[in-house]
Amino acid sequence: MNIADVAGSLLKVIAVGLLLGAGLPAVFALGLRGVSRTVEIADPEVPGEVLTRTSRTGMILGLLCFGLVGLAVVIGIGWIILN
Amino acid sequence: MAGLQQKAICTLPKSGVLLHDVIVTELWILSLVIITALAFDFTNGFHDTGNAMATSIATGALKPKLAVALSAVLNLLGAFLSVAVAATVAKGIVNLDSITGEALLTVVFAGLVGSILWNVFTWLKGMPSSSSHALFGGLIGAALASMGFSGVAWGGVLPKIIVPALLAPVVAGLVAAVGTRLIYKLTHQVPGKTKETGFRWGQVGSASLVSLAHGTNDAQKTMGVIFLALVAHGAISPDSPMPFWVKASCAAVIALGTYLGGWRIIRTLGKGLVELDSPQGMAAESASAAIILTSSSLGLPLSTTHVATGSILGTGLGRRGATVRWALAGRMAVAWITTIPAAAAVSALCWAVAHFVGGAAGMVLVFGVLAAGCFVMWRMSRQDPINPDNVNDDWEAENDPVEETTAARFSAEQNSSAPLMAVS
Repeated sequence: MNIADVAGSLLKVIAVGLLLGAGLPAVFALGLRGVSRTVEIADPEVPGEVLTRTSRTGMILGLLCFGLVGLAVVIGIGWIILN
Repeated sequence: MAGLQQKAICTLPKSGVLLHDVIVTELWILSLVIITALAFDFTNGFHDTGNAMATSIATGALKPKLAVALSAVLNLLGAFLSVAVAATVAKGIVNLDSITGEALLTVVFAGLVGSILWNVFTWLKGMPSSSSHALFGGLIGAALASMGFSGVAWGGVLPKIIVPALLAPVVAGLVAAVGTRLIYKLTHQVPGKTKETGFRWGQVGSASLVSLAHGTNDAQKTMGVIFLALVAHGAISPDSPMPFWVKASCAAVIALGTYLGGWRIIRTLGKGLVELDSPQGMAAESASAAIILTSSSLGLPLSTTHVATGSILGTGLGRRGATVRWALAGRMAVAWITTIPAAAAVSALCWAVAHFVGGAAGMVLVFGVLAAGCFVMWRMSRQDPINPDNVNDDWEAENDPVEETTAARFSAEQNSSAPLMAVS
């Protein structure tokens, strides 16, 4: 393997490293952000007060993000096994 | 060879008896090499536990004993999953094709001894260091001693050892820094408890991946060495598939080493380099996992230790205001640069002793030196033992003289009113 091959492989490692090594944690972080998002609604009992509850869209999007990360991990493991 | 010749003179000149002695001697030597290879595998195990688990242990995402148990199981699994034919060990770095039989076994044996001693020494110092480099260094030293300059493929040293060693921590650091920055930016609004719990789970997942990747990568080194020894002995041909008992023993031994856990190294990685929080831990291990898996599949295997350490440093850089102990990182860099020369020097010496004493006696002598050296270093480690109970103690009080005085004064005041705190 000469220096040119090494350089080529290196760029691939950096690219995939950033995509998966930094990208997946970022998606995971988005997921956390989604499931912890809250919305405010008017309190039916006390006029003028607001209650907070977890946002439904946030929860769905958040779980989707987790699912995506999980899928990537499963594919990654399958790839290890097959390689 | 002197021992063998003596036996030839003393025995009756019946070819059957002579052949028997030769075979028995060679079997002794082969067994010794295999045992030593597995010993290296064992040190490889405990040396690298921290790469996967140090960050999870440091943040409390996993209890210490559970962490090493999980890592051990995944390493075992990974080692069995590694289906790829174990390529000739250190191909393109040392030229082992030109020697055969007992000469080859002696070189391999000496190489292993050098690498084991270096691994145990760096463990004693709590220094993460590459077991791959230790093995390369050991084989280089033994090859140089036995074959001279032509024993090493100098053209392969730059692209296969030096360049990857320089790049691995940098690339890992870059990826981890980017990941850390992204994570903190995206979870700015997330309440503390959710963040902590969520990233702890993330840590467990990513650390598990690193353990699995490590199992698939590193057990192969020892499998390759044992395979080479078996070929040298004539037990199998170079085209044979990997014998199951070789795979099983290497898998079991690396898992056992992982379970025993190099606590000294775990402590350095988890508490010494960077003061970590869960998000950083996850970013570090994710970066490590991605890079280790990608690079090995592209045929550019990077040292798991170099990658993991680089990731941890990078995660310190990615977070504003994080503590990074550069002095320690500097000491680590020195240890890394010294690895190959040091292992080479030791193994060259071991080869010389084994060669000039000759035969099985020479190797048994060197094996005795190996055992004695490891025992001595183990005894030295008992003077300041690190174990699951103190692996997470504050780094400062122990290693920084200024802080130590403050801590001592503080605990003196505490002693009068509170029960004694355990001091490691």
